[in-house]
Amino acid sequence: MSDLNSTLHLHGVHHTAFPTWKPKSTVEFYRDGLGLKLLHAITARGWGRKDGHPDFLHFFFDAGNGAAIAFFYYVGTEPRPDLIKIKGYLGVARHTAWAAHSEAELIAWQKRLEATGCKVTPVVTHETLESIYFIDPNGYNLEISRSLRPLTAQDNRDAELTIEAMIATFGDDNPDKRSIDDMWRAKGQLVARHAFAAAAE
Amino acid sequence: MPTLYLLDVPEFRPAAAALERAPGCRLSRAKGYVRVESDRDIVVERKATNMNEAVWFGLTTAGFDGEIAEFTSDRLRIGPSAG
Repeated sequence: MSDLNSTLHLHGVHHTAFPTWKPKSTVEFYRDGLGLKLLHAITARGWGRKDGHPDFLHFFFDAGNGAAIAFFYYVGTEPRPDLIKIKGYLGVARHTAWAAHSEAELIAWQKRLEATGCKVTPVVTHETLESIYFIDPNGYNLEISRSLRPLTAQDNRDAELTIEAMIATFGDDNPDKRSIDDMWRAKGQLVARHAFAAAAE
Repeated sequence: MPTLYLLDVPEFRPAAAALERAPGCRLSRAKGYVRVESDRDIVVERKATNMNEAVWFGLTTAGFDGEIAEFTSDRLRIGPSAG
């Protein structure tokens, strides 16, 4: 048992799940549009509980690489657009991104989605990836990305320093109302110590 | 003395190259970072780097010492600490 505990690690995402009030359009979009195989569907009278949990369907699509994306449809409940159609950057923050392997694939997805009437952004190039963005019939933000280069130990180390600076600066809830400039100054000190300490002494 | 640190990766190398040509900037490299020091303000013009905005606005991700006096889609200017 202790051997298992010492080697215990997670094996990728099994599934993520979202509520939907558009089950028909959701199936048409994910199964027919994105071509994700329907894997499994659960239908149930609540959870068998007596606290008013609605009857529901829970259905899973193959998202690739062993992962699934799943939806809950709660029968007879009122739609909650406040949970889905979040306006502005907060709506963009919560999203699902799939992987494409080449620029040609990315462009092909863009064309395929547009052909189904889905609005798709132009290709946006970020630091190490480029992406297209679109929205599913529920209002969930989706993305298809391809990596422009593999992430290296250097990227990992830099991320550790950034996160150290982030936690030191903001903690939780940013009680001291610090700015990102404050965090960048903290990061600069960490980078100075990490990479240039000998020169500074 | 303002100091800017750049991550020494392909995305940010155009900025390092532009600063290499900037008068008064001294660049040193170690452990995957470029340190840019200057006795005057450190100024990078986006036009000189050909960087798109999505990458440009992450230019200070490796940190700095000083004050950001200007960070627009055209220009990053870092001056000395206010204090």
